Amino acid sequence: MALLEVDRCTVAFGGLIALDEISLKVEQGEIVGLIGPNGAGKTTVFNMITGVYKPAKWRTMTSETESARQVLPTARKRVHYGDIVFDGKSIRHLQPYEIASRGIARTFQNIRLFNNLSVLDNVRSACHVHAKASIPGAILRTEAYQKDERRILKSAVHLLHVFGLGKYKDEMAGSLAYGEQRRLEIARALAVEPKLLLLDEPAAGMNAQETRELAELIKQVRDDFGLTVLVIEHDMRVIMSICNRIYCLDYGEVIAHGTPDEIKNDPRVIEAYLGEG
Amino acid sequence: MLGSIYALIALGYSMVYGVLRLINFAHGDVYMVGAFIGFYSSRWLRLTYTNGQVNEITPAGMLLIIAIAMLGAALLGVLIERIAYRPLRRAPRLAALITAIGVSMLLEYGGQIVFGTTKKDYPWLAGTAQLTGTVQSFGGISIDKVDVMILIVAAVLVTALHLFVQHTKPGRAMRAVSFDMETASLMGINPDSIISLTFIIGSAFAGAAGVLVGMRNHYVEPLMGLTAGIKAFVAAVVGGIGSIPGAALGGLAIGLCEEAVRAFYPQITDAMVFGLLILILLVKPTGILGGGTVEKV
Amino acid sequence: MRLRAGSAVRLVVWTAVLAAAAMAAGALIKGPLGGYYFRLLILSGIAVVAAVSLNIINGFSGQFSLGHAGFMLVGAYASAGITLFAHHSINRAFDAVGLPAGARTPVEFAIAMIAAAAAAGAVGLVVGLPSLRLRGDYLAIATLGFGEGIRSIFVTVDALGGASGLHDIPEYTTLTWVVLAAIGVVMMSRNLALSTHGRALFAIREDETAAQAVGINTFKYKVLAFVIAAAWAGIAGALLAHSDKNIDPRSYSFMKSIEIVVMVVLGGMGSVTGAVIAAIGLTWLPELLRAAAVYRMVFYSALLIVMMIVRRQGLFGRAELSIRWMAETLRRMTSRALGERR
Repeated sequence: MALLEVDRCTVAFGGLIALDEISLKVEQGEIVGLIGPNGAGKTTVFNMITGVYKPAKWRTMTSETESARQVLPTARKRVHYGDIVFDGKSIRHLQPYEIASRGIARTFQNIRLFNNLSVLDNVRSACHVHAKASIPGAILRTEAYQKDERRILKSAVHLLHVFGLGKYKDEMAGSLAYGEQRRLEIARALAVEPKLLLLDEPAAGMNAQETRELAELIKQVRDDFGLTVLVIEHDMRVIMSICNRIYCLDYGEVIAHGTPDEIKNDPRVIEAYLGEG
Repeated sequence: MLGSIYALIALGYSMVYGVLRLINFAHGDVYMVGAFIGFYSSRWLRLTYTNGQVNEITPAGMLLIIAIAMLGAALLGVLIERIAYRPLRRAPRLAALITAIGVSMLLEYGGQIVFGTTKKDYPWLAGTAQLTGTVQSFGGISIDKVDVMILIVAAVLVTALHLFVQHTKPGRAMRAVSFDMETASLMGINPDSIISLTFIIGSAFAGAAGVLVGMRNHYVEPLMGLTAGIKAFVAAVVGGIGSIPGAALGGLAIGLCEEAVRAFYPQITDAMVFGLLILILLVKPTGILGGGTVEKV
Repeated sequence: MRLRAGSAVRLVVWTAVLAAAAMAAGALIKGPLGGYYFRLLILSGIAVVAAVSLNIINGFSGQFSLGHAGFMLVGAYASAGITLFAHHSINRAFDAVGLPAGARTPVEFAIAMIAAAAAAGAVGLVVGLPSLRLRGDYLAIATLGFGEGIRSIFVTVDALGGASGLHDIPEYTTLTWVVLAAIGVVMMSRNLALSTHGRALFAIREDETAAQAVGINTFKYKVLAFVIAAAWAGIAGALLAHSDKNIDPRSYSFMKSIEIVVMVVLGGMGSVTGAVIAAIGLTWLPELLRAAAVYRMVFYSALLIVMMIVRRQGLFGRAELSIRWMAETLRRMTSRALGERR
C-alpha cells in the first residue's frame, strides 16, 4: 500500500476550482516530483495534504466533453468524497498540526522561518511535537523535564550539523543567507521526524552549484532518514536527477504521470510548459 | 435618535480601518473636539441669543457651526494622521494601536486642561426649547423634534458620502486603497492623499456628530468621547468594519437597541452593547455587511 | 513528577530568603518612610504581576489582549468573597485543625488568592475559547468587549455590590505577599520561556502557519497562555483589593487594561525584564510627576506617542536581562575602555 494516496480530491474557492479531482500516489522510499506551470495548483496540493485546505465533499459531475471550469450545481450524479490516506489512515479532516504529528512535514514556497528566533530554536520548536514534558513539569523544572530538554537539545544540534548549520546555531534565523535559510527550513521539517517530507520549490533562487548540492542533499536525506519525499520544483535538473516518478499538473488536473524519461517526452507536458523548463 | 450619531461616528472608524487597518481610538475624541468647536464658534460669532431661560440658536446658525466644526475636526484628523499615524505606516499594528490610544488620551486630558472639566451649556435650536412634548412616541421610546433634525442631517451626510464613494474618482480611489493599498498605488493612486482624504471625511462627520449631540443634550464635556466612541466603534464592528453602509446600519442598530433596552432595563444598556459586540464577533466577525479576505499560504 | 533534590532545596531556600527580606523591608519602609511610599511599592509589585502576566499573552504568544483588567476584577471579587463572606467558616476550620493565630491571616489570604487565580483562570478560559479563534484586530476588539462586559456585569449586579463595589475588605496585602507574587510570576515566565512550551508560544508569535506545520497545536497554546495570564491577573486583583480595602468596579476599566498594555509594550513585548522595569517605572512616574499636576497625564500620553514613533520595540525589545548578558556587556565595555587591546 502506498504511503500517501490522494484519491480524486477537489479543492474549490467559491466558484473557482483550484484542484479538480486529482489523484496521486507516493510509495514508501520514493522521491516523487510535482511539476507544472505557475498557477497549476502544486502548492495547493501541498496545502491540501497538510490540512490547510480541506478537499471539497462533493464531486460535481461534469460532462465528458467539456473540461471543468465551472461548478455545475444541479448535475450531481455520483456523490464521491475525495480522500487523502496517509499510512493507511484517512487524514482528510485533520488539523494541520495533527497531520504534522502523524508524520508529514513540509517547507514553504516563500520561506517561513521563525525569523526572530535563533537557528537552534527554530529546529527545537519542531522537536516540540515529540516533547514529553508537561507544563507544570516545565515550570517547576522537574527531573523528567530536564531530561527531555537535554534530549531535544541533542537532536536539534545534531540535525543542524547534518545540514552544515551548526556554527550558526545561536544566530537569528532571519540573519542567515538565503541558501542557508532554505537548508534550515528543511532541517526544521526533519526535526518533526516525519515519514513524508514535502518540499516546495527548495531550489528557488539558487545557482547551478547550489542546486546540484541541494539535489544531492535531498537524496542523502532520503537515504539517511528513511524518508519519502514529494517535491515541487521548476528546476528540471533537480527533478530529472532525483525523482523516481513525476506528476505534471496543469489547471488543477494531473495531465501526465510517469518516470522522468516518460515525462520528458510527453507532448502534453511540453505543451503545458510551452517549451519552458 | 442616538443611532444616527453613532452611525456618523462609526463611519469614521470604518473608513479609517478600511484603508489603514487601524482602529483609530482617537476618533471618539475628535468627535468631542468637534462639539467644542461648535460651542466656541457659536459663542464667538455671537450666534446665540437668549430666549427666556435658555440660549438659542437659529437653524441657519446651527448649520454654520456644524460646518465650522466639520472643518475644524477635519483639520484635527489630518493633523493626527500626519504626526502620529503616518510614521507608523509600516510598523506592527499593535504599535499603531498604542499610538492611537496615546492620541486619544492626549486629547482627553488636554481637553480637560484647555476646556476645563465642567460641562458647557449648549444652545438650543430655536423653537425647540418650548417643546416639552414629543413628536412621536413608540411605546416607551420617544423621539424629539431635535432627533428628527439629527436624523435628517445625518441622512444627508451619509447619502452624500455614499454617492461620493461610488460615483466619483476620489471615491473610487478610496475603495481601491481599502482593498489593496499596494496595487492601488501601482495604478497611480497616491495612497497618502487618499488616506488624508479618508481622515478628513471621517473626522468631519465626527465633528458634525459632536455638534448635533451637543444640540440634543445641551451640554458638552471633554470626556464625552469615551462612551460614545466605544459604542460607535461597536456599531462599526457590528455593521461590518471597513464597510460604509455597514457603519450606518450598525450605528442605527446599536442606537435602536440602546433605546429599547434603556426603556425597560436601563442598568444593563452598557453591558448589552458589549454583549452585542461579542455576539457578532462569535457569529460573524466581519459584521453584518462586511466581507472576508482569504489568506494565501 | 520528581523534583531533583538539589533544585527543590534551592527553590525553598531562595523563597524563604526573599520572603524574609521582603518582610524586613516592609517593616522598615512602612515605619520611617510612611504609608505613601509603602503603598507605591505595593502598587509597583501588583503592576509587575499584571504586566508580566500580560506579557505571556501579548509578548510570548503574540496575541492582542485588551481586557486584562477584567480578569483582575474577577480575582478581586473572588478573593474578597472569601475574606469577607467565608471568613467565619474558615476560622472554624482553623479551630478544628488547631492552627495558631499568627498563621491564620496568611493562610486565609493564600486561600483567597488561590480562589482568585482559579476564578480568573476559569473566566479566562470562557473568554479565550471563543476569542482566540479570531485574528489580530478582531481578537483585540473581542478582549476589549469581554473586559468591559465583565466590568458592566459587576457594576450592574447589585448582589455583587453593584456600582458601589465592595467595601471594608481587610488589608491583608503586605509587601511580602507582593514580592512573592512578583517573583512567582517572573520565575514562572522565565521557566516557561526556556522550555519547549515557551518555544511553542514563540513559534506561534512568529508564524502561526509554520508553527502548525511543525506540529504545534496553536489554538491550545494560545488558550493556555491566556488562561495562565488570566490566573495571575486574578492574583494581582486580589492583592489590589486587599490593599485598597475596597473594590470599585469602575476603576478596572479599559483604561486600566491599557495601562498594563502600555507597560508591556514600553518594556518591550516578549521581554520579562522589560515588563518588570516598565511596570515599576510607570507606577512611579505619575507619582513623581505629581508636581506637574494636570499636565502629567498629558505628558504621559505624549510620551506614549513619541515612544511608538521613535522606539517601538520598547526598552528591551525581546531581550532579557541575565547574569550572562550583564557579564558580556561589562566585558565589552571594559575592553572598549581599554582601547580594544586583545
